Amino acid sequence: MNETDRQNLFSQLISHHQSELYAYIFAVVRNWEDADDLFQAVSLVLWEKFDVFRPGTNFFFWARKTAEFKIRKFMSQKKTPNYVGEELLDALTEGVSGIQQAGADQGLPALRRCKAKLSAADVELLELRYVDDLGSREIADRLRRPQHSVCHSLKRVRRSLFECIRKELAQQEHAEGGLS
Amino acid sequence: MIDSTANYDRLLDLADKVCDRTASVDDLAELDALLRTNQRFRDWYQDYCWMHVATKLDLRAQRAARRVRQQISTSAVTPIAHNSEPLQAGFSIAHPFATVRNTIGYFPEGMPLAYLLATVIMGIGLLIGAFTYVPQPTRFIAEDAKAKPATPNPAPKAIVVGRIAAMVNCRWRDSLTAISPNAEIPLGQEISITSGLLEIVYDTGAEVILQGPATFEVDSKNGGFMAIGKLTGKVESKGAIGFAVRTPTAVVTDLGTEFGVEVDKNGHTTSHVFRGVIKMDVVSQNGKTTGVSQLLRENESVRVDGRQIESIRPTACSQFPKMPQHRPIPLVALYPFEGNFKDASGNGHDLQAKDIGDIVFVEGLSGQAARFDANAKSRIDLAIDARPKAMPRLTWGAWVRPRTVGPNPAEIITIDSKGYGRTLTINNRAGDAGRVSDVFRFATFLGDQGVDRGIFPSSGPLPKPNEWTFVAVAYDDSNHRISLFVEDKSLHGGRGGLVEDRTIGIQFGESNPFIRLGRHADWDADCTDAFDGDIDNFFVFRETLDAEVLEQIRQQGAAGILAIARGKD
Repeated sequence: MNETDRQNLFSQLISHHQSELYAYIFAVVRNWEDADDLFQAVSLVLWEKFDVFRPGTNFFFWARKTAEFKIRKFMSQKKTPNYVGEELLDALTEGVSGIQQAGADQGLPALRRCKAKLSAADVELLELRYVDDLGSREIADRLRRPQHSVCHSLKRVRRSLFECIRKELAQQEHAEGGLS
Repeated sequence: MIDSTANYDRLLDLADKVCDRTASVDDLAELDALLRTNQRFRDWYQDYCWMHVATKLDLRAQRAARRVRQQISTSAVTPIAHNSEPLQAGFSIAHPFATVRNTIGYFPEGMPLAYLLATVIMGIGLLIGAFTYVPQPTRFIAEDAKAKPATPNPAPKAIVVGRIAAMVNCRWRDSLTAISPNAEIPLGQEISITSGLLEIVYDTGAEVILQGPATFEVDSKNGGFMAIGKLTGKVESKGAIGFAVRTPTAVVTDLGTEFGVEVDKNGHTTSHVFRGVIKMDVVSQNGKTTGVSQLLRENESVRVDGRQIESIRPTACSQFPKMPQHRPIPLVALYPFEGNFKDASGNGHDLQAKDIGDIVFVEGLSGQAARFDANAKSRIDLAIDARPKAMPRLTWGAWVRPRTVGPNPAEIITIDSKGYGRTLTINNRAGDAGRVSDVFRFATFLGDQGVDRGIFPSSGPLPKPNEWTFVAVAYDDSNHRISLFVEDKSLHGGRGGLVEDRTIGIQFGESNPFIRLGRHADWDADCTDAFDGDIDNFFVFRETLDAEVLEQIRQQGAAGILAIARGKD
């Protein structure tokens, strides 16, 4: 594999698995800004160690394990109550959740199918929260709705999206099990 | 192993707080504790975090795609496409935060690898980032000002569609969503209660009573969306005809009637007509009606699972929240024992230190309860005169959880002064003569001139250690009548657990001018017959309640007690 192919493969893999890797980091540091910085630092580490990766194996699990040291170091340098402790970091690094098991190949399409089932108003709410990065009070001001109403709508939409994704993935798993 | 729904909900609530940057140190500690519990919680947490992250990435990619399209359309002087399909794969792989954070600054200058990565991984991200909206208030206002006319438009007022008419012991799923009594309800208001009763009166005249746990969104001027829970709807004015309750699987349209709707956790909808006519329409997963519908008339019930309407045996009216009584029933006192000794009836019978002996609070039927320790001679004295002369008509009751049953009787509520006054007890007598047996049951006795009389059931539910049982006694002195109600879990769905209801052919005897909980008022200094266990929601009504009303109390707890007390003129 020449250098260009290697770069392309890495770019493709890290882009493909960015949501899983970023989510893992976020679950550990529980802070968007730190997760953002750490994701980029981890990307560098993964690139440096990419020679060790064996194509055909699961990139996310390799990336998570490979990045573990960097994450620990990052967390030890910046003490904050936001971070999970060592014990939980171990547990979160060793575990395999439903979406991690299914992988981005199935997770993202499931998310999009579920999102398509939401009403236009619900999608607008998500955009204000996730794209415009507004808090519930700002969203309430923007939509001229009570803040508590926005909080509840947001919660309802998130839960419904989550349940839908889990259901979709379970159905896929069932269908694949039935085919095999 | 099934993890509790409450913990699942709490876990996701805490994850939401983390994602919304609103988690406190205590929240994080609680989240840690939950995550340490088991692997399933950790999996849910990771998956839920992934959903937040992936939603963020995907929506940002879509927003960027729309802006790219708009730029392309504008430069080509072609009509702007109004769809919002996601970009092709090449766009969706961008780093989503490159434009929000100082991405390039993170890589050390002069480091070839950093530039390489920045080029390879972030390049497309930066391209999209150029078109991605970054929250900048001034820029937003400037663009907004350009688009709008120069004359300022007054901010539109929220559209009010009704108000809260009554609330009884409502517990809100989230304190942010709490609504005050008599508050106006704007369009879009979401109401989510974990317990209690809440009545909404729409401006159209339609009335809805929600029973928690329920989540209801007032999404129109004459209707709402119920995601889960129970409600009773009532439409009596012409303007409210057509009132609609939308659920995940059905639309229930009221054509002038009173009806009940229940939505379970799967979204399946059960509806029952008390009187009048309603129309049921099946709703598919995309939220649209399928064309399958059915008219329901009085005393008909159906269930909709999202595909079809299935007629079912008429659902008991008592399963739906009941409208407040038209005639208020005088509640004398109610003690929910929520970590205090306050009287929730509003009549001011709060307990003083002298009234209380060695009571601690423990987890109750809902919230907390009072624990009576027989060894510590626990007691509560209420300065309420419940003697027959003062209250010829009386009903008292509570939820009771004995820690032990036998070998001695246990006096739970009494005004007895050695003359067989009104008493609710657990004892081992049976039959009219009060013959002693080996079996302990809830019982009530009273008497006159030393004659031991009362209701000593020989059948019916047995008190079980460490299990809650609803127990009540209704007295009607003028008609020489007494009724004992006992119900435990085995009678769920039953008519009310009426054990015996008969005429006692004697006048009630005189007794103490106060009510004592936990042990006898005058004798038994050693507390051999003291109650050892927990009491929750002890209540006293100055009225002889019937089985139907007591069944409402049994089903609705303290909320039901207050609903009955408030009534409606």
